Amino acid sequence: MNETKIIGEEITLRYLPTDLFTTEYFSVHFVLPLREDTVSAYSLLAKMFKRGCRAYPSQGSFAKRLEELYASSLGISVTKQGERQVLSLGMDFLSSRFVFDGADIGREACALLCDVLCDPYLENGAFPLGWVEREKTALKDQLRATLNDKRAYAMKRCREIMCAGEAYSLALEGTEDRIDAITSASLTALYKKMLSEAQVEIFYIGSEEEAVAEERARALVKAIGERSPKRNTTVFSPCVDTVKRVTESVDALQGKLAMGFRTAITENARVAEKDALLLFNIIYGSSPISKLFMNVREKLSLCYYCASRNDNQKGVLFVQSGVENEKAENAESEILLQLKEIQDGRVTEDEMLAAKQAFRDLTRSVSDSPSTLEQWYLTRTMQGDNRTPEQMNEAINALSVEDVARAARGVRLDTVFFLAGNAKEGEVTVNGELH
Amino acid sequence: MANCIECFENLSLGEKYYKTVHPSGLTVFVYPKKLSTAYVMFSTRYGSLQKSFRLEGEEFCTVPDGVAHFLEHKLFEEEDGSDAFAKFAPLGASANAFTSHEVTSYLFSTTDHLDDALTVLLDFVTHPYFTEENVQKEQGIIGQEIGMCKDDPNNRLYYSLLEGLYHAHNVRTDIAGTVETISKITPDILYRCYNTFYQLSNMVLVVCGNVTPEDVMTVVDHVLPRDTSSSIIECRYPQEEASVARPYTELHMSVATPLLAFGVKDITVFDNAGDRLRHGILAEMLGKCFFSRSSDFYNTLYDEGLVSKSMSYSFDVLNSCAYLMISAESENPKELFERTKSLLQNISENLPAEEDFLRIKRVMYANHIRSFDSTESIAFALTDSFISGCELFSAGEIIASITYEEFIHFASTFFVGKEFSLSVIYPSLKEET
Repeated sequence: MNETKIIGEEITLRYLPTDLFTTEYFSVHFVLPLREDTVSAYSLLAKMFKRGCRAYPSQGSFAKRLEELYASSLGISVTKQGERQVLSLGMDFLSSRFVFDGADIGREACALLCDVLCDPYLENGAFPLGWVEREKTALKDQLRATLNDKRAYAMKRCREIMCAGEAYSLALEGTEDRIDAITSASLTALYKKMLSEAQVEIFYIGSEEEAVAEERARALVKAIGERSPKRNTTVFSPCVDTVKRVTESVDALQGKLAMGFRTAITENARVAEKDALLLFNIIYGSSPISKLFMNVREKLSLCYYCASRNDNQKGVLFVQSGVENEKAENAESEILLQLKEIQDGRVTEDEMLAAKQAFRDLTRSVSDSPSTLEQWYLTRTMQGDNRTPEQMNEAINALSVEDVARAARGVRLDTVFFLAGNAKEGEVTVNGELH
Repeated sequence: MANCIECFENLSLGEKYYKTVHPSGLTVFVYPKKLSTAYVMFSTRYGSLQKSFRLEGEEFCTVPDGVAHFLEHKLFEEEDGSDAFAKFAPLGASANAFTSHEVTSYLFSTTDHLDDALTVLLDFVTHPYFTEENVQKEQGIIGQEIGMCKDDPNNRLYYSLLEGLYHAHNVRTDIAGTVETISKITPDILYRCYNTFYQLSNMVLVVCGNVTPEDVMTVVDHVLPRDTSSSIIECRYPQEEASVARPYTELHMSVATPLLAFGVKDITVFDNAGDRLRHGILAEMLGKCFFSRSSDFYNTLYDEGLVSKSMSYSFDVLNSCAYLMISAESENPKELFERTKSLLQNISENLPAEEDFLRIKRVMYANHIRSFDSTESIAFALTDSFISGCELFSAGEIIASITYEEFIHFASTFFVGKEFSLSVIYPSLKEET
C-alpha cells in the first residue's frame, strides 16, 4: 500500500487500490513555500481554478459540466503543512458500475481536472480581470469572516503573537494589503511558477487497475510540461524566556483562551520523539478522556471545552478553551498543572491504554474513506515518513509512560492570548417591523 | 430466542440491511458493511418539540424548554458517580450524543470491541440516575453551552428566523432551552420524561459495520429485558396559521459581513410518510435549480457581488412542521432578499428547462448512491427512516420516478400563499478590540 512511483521531476504518484467505495478519487497537491509575499496569491489562485477552464469558461457552465458527469465534485483547498502552503485539487467521481448511459465518467472527470489545471481560461494571456477582482473580494471576505468564529479568531491571534516574524504566523488569506496588490498579470506569472517549481504529489484511490491510474496521472504530468522544481523547508524556532501575554475584548458572552507552547521537536527530530509527543497530546488534551477534558471541564466545570492540538511539522502545541472571564485565570493554572502532572510521569495505566486504543482506532479507520487515506499519506510524506497506519500503530503501542513524560518535559509555554467577552445578555436588538 | 428478521435489499446498489423488533419492543436495524469503522446509534423519538405529552390514560403535562437535551447530558452520569464516556475509551470507541428537534441519539464509532461497547451503550442509556445534586451541577455546564451557542452567529440567525416564521410551534425555541428554563428542571421532571419517551418501544438501535444481525441480537438479548410494558405516547403541538410571526428581525453581533437567512414555512398536511419524503425531495431539487453554483440566478448575484460566497438552501421536513431556509452573507442583505423573493414569487415565469431538471435529477441520483459509502451516514439515514417512517432505499425510487411535469407543477404552486420572513445580523456598531 505504501509504494510510490516517481513519474516526473519531483512528481510522485501514490496509487491506493480499494473497492470499498461507490466513487473513485484523483487528486494533485502542489507543495509550495509559505511566504508573506505569495501566500495571498496562491489562495487566490485556488479560487481561479474553481471558476472553470478554457473549455467551460464560466462558473455556471463549469458547474453544469461537473453535474453532467454524475455530480463529480472538484474539491479545491489550500492548507498549511508546517511552513509550507499546499494547494490541492481533488476530483471525486462515480465508479463506472453505477453509470447507466455507458459514458466513461472516469476518463472525462480526470481530463477535466487536467484542463482546469493546465488549460485555464485566459484573456490576452492572463486570468480575466473580472474574475481576479471578484475573487479578491471573496478572499477578503473570507479573511474578515475569521471574526465570526471566536474560537478560530483567538487561535489565529495566538499564533500571530507567538510566531511573529515566522512564516507559520501567516493566515492563508494573507493580509488585505497583499490581496489588494495582486494583479491579473502577477497572478498568472505565479500560476506558471507553481506548475514549474512546486513539489507535486498525485493520488489515485479507487477500483481501477494501476495501469489506468498511472495513465491518467501521466496525462496530467504531460500537460504540466517542463519543470524546474524547488524544495521547501520549515524553520523550527526555540522557546523564548518570557511568556508573551495579550488580552483583547470582543462583543461576545463567553471568553476564549488560547495558549501556545513550543515542543522539543526540530527538523532533525527522530520519528520516536514525534510519536511520543503525539501520544502525549492524546493523553493531555485531544480525547474525551484526556486530562484537560476530565479535569478542567468535567471535574472543575471551568469551561465548556478544553482541548490541545499538536503540530509536529512545526514543533508547536496549542491549548484552546471557552471560559467565562472570571474563570480564565483558574483555567490557565489548571491547564499548566495538568501538563506538570504528565511531566512528572503521573499517567495511569488506564490513561495510557485508552490513549493507545484511541490511536489504534484512528489508524484502523484510515482505510474507510478516500479522504482519510489521502490525508494519512500526504501528512506522512510531508514529514519524510512513509509508514502505513499499521506500522505507526505498532510504534505508538511500544511507547512507555517515561517516553510520554520526556516528550512533555520538552513542552514549554510561550504565549497566552485571551479574548474577553464583554457583551451582556439581551444587548442584541430585535426589531419586529419590516423596514 | 429466535427473533424474526426482515431483509431489505437494493439490487442495483448491491446493498442490504436487516430489521427486527426485539421482544422488549426495541426496533433494531443491522446494516452489514465491510468497513473497519462500525457506527452505532441508539435513539429515541424524543426531542425539543415533544414538550406537551401524556401516556395513555394520564393527564397532559408540559415541561420546560430544554429538557430533552438536559436529559441527554444527564444519562451519561452513572449511579456510582462515574461518567459513561470513560467506559468507551479503554475499548477504543469514541462516544457522543446529540439532541435535535425530534430525536435524541447516543452513539459511538469503533474499529474494535464492538460487542463490549454496544453493551456499555445499551446499559447506560437504560439506567437513568438523577438527583437534586447532579441536576444542579449540570445546570452550570449547560448554562456554559448555551452561552457558547449564543455567541455563534449562525446559530443565532437560525433561531431568529424560526422565531420569525412560527407563532407558537416549539421549533422556534432553542433545543438547549435558556438558562432560565433549565433552572426549573428537577429530577421528577427528568424521570417523567424518561419513563415516557425512553420506553424501548419508542426507540431504535442501528448498527452499521462488519457484523451480522445475529451478532447484534445476541448482545441485545443479553443486555435488555425481554418483556417490558409499553404505553402509547400522545404529543400535542400548537396549531400554526399560514402567516408568519414577524416579517423582519434584525440583530447586531460581532460579525464581519452581514449574514441573512430567509424562508417560508410549509403547513401542508401529508397522508403518509412517502408523500412527505417526496415533497422534501421535490423541494430540494427546486433549491438546486436556483441556488447551486450551476444556476444562472446564483451566478448573476455572485458576479454582481450581491452574495459573498455560496447561498445555502435547505428544506427541513419534520413530522410536525416543515420550513424552507435560504442563508447567505451579503453586504446588501435587503436587496439580495428582495431579488430572491421576487424570483420565487414569480416562479412561473422563471421555471427551469427540462434539461436542467434532468441534470439535477442525475445529481440527486449520484448523491443518493454516494451516501452508502460511510457507516456514519448510513447509521444516520437509518435512524431518520425510523423517525420519518420511510424505508431507507425508498428515496432512490422516488428520485427515479419524478417526472418533469410533476416537478414543474410543484415549483409553480409551492410558493403560492406563503409569506416570507427575513432575519439579518449586522456587525455590531461598537468598535472591536
